[in-house]
Amino acid sequence: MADDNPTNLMVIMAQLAKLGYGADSVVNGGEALAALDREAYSLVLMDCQMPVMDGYEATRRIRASRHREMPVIAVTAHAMAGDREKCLNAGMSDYLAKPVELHRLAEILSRWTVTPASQGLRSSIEIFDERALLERLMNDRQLATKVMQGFLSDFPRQLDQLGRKIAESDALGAGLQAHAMKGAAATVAAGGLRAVALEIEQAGRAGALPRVIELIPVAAREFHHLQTALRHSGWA
Amino acid sequence: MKALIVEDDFTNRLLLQSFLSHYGECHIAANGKEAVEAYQAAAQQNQRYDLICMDILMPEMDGRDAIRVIRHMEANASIYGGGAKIFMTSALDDVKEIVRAFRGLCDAYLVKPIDTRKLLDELKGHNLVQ
Repeated sequence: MADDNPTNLMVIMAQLAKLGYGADSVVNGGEALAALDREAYSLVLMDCQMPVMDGYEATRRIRASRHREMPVIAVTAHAMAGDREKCLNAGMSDYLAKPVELHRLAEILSRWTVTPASQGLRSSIEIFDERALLERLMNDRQLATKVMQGFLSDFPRQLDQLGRKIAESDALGAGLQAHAMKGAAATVAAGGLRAVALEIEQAGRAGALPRVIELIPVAAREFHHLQTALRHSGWA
Repeated sequence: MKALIVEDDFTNRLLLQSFLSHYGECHIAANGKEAVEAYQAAAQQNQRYDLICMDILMPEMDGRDAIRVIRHMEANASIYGGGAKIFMTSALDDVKEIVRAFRGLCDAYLVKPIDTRKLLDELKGHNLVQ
């Protein structure tokens, strides 16, 4: 958590503790960068206006560093419409308005991190099971790579289509779309993504559109995890 | 071998097409309706499919209906038993239910995610490849 205002820091640190997250606090962007090099964090909450180095500059530097995959959440008192764009343009992953409401903070944290309870239990195999994929394709790595690349290029389009079904208030259509996404994720041995797609499929079939909407960022996040895992293991 | 792959998902289509194209010509349909149209077009040119890989849950027309229509068209053309081999591909968890529902209409059931070794075994078992 990076914020130069002691009161804000105190409040957010207390909120994080209440939600079960451990956190360290720093007072400017430069200190945030130094902390990232020192310790392994799951996420950064970043105030935008800070002395020495502001949140925008710090985020740009994070994106250019080995921590480029780190979720950075802007925490800002600016409620102007253009501020959100400014944050996203600087490479921030999401946006939290001050004063920070506990339920909004909980929502953002669960969207961008694994929950504290499951932290550490989640292995990379759950995200992508390379062995399972190769075994299922008679160890044909060339075929596996081709299918994986096809999946990676197609999945954002599938998410778009899901969004379109939601815009049309078509819960059943969303369910059917999620069914195809589930099948695709299973085919490339992406267990985490498959699990989210299954949840969306079930919510869609049950006509629970609000739940579908809630799960879309979770699916997007899971896809991001997968891309990262694939890059690290040389698959993409 | 001439095959028709019926599947609404791009990734699964890519997998089946990449794998099966080693063994013959592959055509693609994205739902049951397109499958029936492809079947009709091929039948009119008397170049019927040897294999149809059919997904179940698809938009427009699902796999169940498409299979019934295709088998019905085969019967009308007096093709009994010698028609296309139909492999049903399904991610549905209750495979038993599917097998019961499609006994006699399908030649094989492949549970998704597709295992290419099992697919190859079925191709060999139905004399579609050597």
